[in-house]
Amino acid sequence: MQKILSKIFGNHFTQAEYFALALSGWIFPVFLWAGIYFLVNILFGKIIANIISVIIFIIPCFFIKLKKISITVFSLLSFLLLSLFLRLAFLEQAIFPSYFDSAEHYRVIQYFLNIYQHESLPTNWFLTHYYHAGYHFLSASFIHLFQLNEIKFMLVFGQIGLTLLPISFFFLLKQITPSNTVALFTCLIAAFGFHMPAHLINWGKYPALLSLIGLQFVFCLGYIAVKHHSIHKQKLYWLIAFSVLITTLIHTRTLIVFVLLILAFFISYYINKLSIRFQYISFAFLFMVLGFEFFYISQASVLSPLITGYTQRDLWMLVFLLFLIPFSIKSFPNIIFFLLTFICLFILLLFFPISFIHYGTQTLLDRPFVQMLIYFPFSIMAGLGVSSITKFLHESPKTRLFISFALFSLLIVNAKYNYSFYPSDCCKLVSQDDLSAIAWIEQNLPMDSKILIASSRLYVTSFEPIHSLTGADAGIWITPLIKRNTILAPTELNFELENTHIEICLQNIQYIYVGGTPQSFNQANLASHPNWYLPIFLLPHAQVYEVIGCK
Amino acid sequence: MLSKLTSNQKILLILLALILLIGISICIASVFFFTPASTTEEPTSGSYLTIQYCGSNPKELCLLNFGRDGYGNAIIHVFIPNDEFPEFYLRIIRATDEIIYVCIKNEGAATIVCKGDALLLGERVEIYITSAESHQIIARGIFIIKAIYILPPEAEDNEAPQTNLPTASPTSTSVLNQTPSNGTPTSTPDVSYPSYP
Repeated sequence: MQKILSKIFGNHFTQAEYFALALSGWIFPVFLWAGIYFLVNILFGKIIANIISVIIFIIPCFFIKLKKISITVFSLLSFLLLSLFLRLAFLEQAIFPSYFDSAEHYRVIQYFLNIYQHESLPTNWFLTHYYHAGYHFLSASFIHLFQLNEIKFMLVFGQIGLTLLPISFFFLLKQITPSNTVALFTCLIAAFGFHMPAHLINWGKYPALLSLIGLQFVFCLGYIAVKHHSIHKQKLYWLIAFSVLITTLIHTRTLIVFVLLILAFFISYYINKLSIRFQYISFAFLFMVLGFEFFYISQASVLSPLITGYTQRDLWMLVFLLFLIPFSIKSFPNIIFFLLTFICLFILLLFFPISFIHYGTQTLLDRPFVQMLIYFPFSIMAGLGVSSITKFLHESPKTRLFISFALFSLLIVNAKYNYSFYPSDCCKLVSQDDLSAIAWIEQNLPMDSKILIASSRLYVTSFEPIHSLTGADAGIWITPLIKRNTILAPTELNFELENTHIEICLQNIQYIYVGGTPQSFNQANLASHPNWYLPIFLLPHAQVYEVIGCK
Repeated sequence: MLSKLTSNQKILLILLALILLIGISICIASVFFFTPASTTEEPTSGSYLTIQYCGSNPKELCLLNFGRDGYGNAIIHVFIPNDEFPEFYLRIIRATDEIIYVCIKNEGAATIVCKGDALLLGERVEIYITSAESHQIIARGIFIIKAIYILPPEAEDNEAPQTNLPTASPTSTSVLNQTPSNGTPTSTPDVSYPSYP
């Protein structure tokens, strides 16, 4: 990747900048390989595909020139290694990928793996509902080539993506400020300052995480296009177009984010042309709009986790950010205006419903996506604020060194006490008991069994249709893992009522799965009617009941 | 050094120092005040033993399993090391209340069967083995009920309990006859739980 970038950009950047930019865009050559691997696999079979893959992996090694690495590159490498070490701690307590999204990702990965195994495309492949196909396609390619375990791959790949994600901030801040210390500090903020993007893993939002890598890389390319007029633009635009395409394939909503970024750029470009007085008014107006937006978000119960998510987990970082914003505005008014406009726009999209033919009424961005995204401008703003402070202290290097050291220390102390490197209890649906139960179901229940599983309503936009249900416990993994038919039922279903029993019988449901999450079915309810629901598998955090007594 | 600075820089420095001071104070305070409490709730007393789940080959006083009879009562099987072990009853402290379990020795077996009100799967209970004569505590243990061994009614009086902890398995159809448990229901699922918390 570094070779490709140096071909396009020549000697415009330092070794450390190339290193950071190349690592930021690592997914794009990998996608190219996956595309080739897939096509060759379909056309010529697995052996040829494997040989070509080996060649693709080996060829770049001949271009590697061992050079003396700079202290900055060494620092970045150390940061990445330490970060990887900390991120992998997550796996120590993770039994399965978290939340209900992961089950769906697993299912789609399986779909692509089936294509690989049959070495042909299904006849209806273009009609199949793909769910962020890019991530699943890439995962399936890796899993198929290296014969990996799907679950382990999902867990490890997520942590690797998370480790590499902040590296693009180094390039960006180095370009803007141009201080290595500030750039490294911003990397640290982006990595361990806020609960996002690491919390995405707890939500099982692996495609969103991967798309963030693409998004941040495209942002860096966009910055280059705007700031470096002497760079060969045609190649750069091709690279941007390719990166946008792949990122959109990974997560469709990023296309909307790209549009918003462009819109924010043009708005801030236009405001910049106005008089200073109008620029002040524009800033005031922007803050007012943001104030209104945050007020309405706090009033809407569906959207309020956007605010509480940050205030409960990242309070000190928010206080720190608020302290830094005036400094960053003083030194980088245009960039801050652009970032605030960007925030303003994507929050605004939470309030406007749009009807889609197959998906009903939705908003263009949903609350979890906005919650994820907001860390990006926050980190840049914090980095710019620190840069501004160090600028003020340029005449006093010792003080600047002390302040930098103190800020780094504070950030590390904050991470120590407020940052979790382990899976959050909020979203762990699967326990060891669940795995035992699922294994038992696989061995003991017939293939055509119908199993009732708990579900809760999906609340991510203010316009969610009532029928949007999501898995609430490990039951959601039954279908993707062991191919038994599952039926979703509201978690508050009262099993003590005769009508419920009649309804279950009418639907020909033979079994009920009760997981260990607080959102699962009420086990006491089921246990109180042994003449309707017979316990056939009991563990503290997973139970299976057989529906009996149907007339 | 400060004399080199302009007045703006001095204000900034003072501000920064103040922020850092507050930040460090909060961090130190959080270490002292918000450190999670130790998981060992009560100090163990040297005057009584600690009881745990039995291993595969029990030798000391230990708890074999939690069970349920055909009438919905809870049964606790306790392993005793020898016949000389004093008679006892169980005092069980739950989250909501306290129950006394009467214990009866199985003839010729190293197990004691204790019976009482129903317990729930997954429940945390604190068990005090208390001497029936002196009412002194002999042993204490905290247990999470990991599995409930369901005994068919006809077998319950005759069948010697297993020494191994039963693994959860399909129960016999006799469970159909059991009286519904009147134990405390588990917490009602929180329907207002947000998506993607």
